[in-house]
Amino acid sequence: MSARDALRARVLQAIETRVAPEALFLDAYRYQQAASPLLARLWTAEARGIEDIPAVPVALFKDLDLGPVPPLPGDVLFRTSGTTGSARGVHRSRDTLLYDLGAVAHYREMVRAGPARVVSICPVDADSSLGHMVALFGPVEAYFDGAVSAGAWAALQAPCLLATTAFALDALFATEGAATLDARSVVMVTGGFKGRHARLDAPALYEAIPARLGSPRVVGEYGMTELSSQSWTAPVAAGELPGAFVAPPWMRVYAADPHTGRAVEGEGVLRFVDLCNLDSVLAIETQDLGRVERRDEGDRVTLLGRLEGAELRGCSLRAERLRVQA
Amino acid sequence: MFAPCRAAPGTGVSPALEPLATLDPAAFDTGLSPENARACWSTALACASMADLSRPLPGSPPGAVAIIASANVFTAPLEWAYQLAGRGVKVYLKASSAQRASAAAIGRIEGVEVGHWRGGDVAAEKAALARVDAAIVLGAEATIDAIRARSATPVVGLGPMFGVAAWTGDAHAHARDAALYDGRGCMSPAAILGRAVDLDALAGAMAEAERRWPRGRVSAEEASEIRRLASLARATGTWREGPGWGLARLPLSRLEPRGLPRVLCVYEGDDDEVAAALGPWRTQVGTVAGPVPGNYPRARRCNPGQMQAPPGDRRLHDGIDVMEALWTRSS
Repeated sequence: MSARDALRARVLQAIETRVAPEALFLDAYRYQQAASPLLARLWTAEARGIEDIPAVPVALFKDLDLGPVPPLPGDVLFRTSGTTGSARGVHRSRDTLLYDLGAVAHYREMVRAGPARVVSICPVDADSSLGHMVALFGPVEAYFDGAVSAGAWAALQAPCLLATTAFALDALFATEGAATLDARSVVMVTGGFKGRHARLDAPALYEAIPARLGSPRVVGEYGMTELSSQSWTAPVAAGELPGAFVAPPWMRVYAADPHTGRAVEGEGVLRFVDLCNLDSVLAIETQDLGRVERRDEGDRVTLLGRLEGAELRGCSLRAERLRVQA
Repeated sequence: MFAPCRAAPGTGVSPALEPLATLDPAAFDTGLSPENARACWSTALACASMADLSRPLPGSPPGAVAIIASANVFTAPLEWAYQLAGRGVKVYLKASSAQRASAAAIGRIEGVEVGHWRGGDVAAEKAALARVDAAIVLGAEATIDAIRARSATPVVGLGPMFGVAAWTGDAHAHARDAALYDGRGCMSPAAILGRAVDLDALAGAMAEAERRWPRGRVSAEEASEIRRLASLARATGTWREGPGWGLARLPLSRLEPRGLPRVLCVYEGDDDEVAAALGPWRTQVGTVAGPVPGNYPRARRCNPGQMQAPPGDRRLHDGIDVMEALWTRSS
């Protein structure tokens, strides 16, 4: 059995038992150090604890191919949407086994829902990890083609999992229509507005759900292309604001000082150490700010905002803000 | 060969600027360290003082000009305010709220009036532009375009630019260029280009520059970007760092202007490779230090160590004769 297969078996066991010992994270770190010449250059130090594993900035996925070596024709590629920058990041893996089993296991644990008919109004591309994830929860009926499409309200007349971004839900509510879903249905809201214009801010968006959708349960999902695991909130009743996100035990979360990069208690820039990223990069530093509570059953994360939009204090702007001359 | 810039004078501030020279820019809340703010301020005053106010200009002078500075280094409006006021033109200076103190300082030049309005306050902007014959807008291209679209007043736009330098072996000169304004200015070196760049010497010079002009505030976003760049450099080249500075050696194929505070990027390549790599940005290169190969039509050429010291008597800024443009457009 190869080192990868042996580790993969241990990660699968962690998903099944919902117990992921620290030693498994450290073994995965050493494995990636040895398997990837690129990571070997980034990760030159020993790690004695999970927070010692150097977190790779999420934006580096736009710069480098951080997938398994060598790239193979059957590798799976997920690409970022590109909405937050000009280049699209690429997350490459050999397969989606860990992704799929981890996603379904944590969804069922948090949402307490089995396979369902999925009505998706998420703006996703064919190579989107979000699109891949929602398809794991049931057959998908997609109602987004540049905007929320006309059949969406008709599709919401029967029990379902409504998969939506905050922005798309706002767009849906801007159209004529209503539904009377009951608690068998779930509204899954993922993603923020990321600087895009929206009519409603987050609390108003959630408060509008009973009037427009009835009484489905509502959950928040936090995920990103560069991570193979997701965090979910506990379901709340329609009209309520979902609470903190809970990461699965096989993905540890901690905060770092955004200026120094050092791990801190409580609030800071969020870092995720995801065993399901066994084929790519174990530890990721996001551009999200949050507060983290360490829990054995799953770290709890409260999102506080993003690093983006910081004041530019100079007249030299970065490449994506310059007009490139052909 | 290139025509070397005149050395920035260490003394010799114009009488009109003497009231400004007595101020301590450390109080301007520029985000720079006091030492750096003072170095930038004194250099800017000395350079502006070199302007030839008697240079003949075609057309007729505008009665009044607005200078709108949105996202710039704090000294950016100085040379225009000085030259215009020195020629008897009434100047209305609008700087961002973050630059109120430095704008007030520039307002000490006789004939310069400082005004403030919130960015995007179209009514206030319209009222201000109605009072003038022309405007200089310094900022993002989108800002310049938006103001042009909203106003019939002739606008001279000075958009985002960046600097590049050829490795000349004078590490201290390169480090000085990178230190002033903490590397955020449009004249700051976004890249050191050439062959056999001595990283040890550059690292030593960056450390010394940090001791002399300590780095100022760094935003969380900038710190995150520096970690990204450090990772990229470690993975594909070399990363060196010390307290308050960073030095990245990257493949030429990774060349892009970054403008991160006190981070110098080195790209090695032959002349043809350098010219090709810079080609996509050739019209955004505003300052070239040393013999960087390639054609940069809007660039000021100078020696390393003088990137932040543009002599005020130069005719062209970003390829534009700003004074001539103001005179002819308002005729």
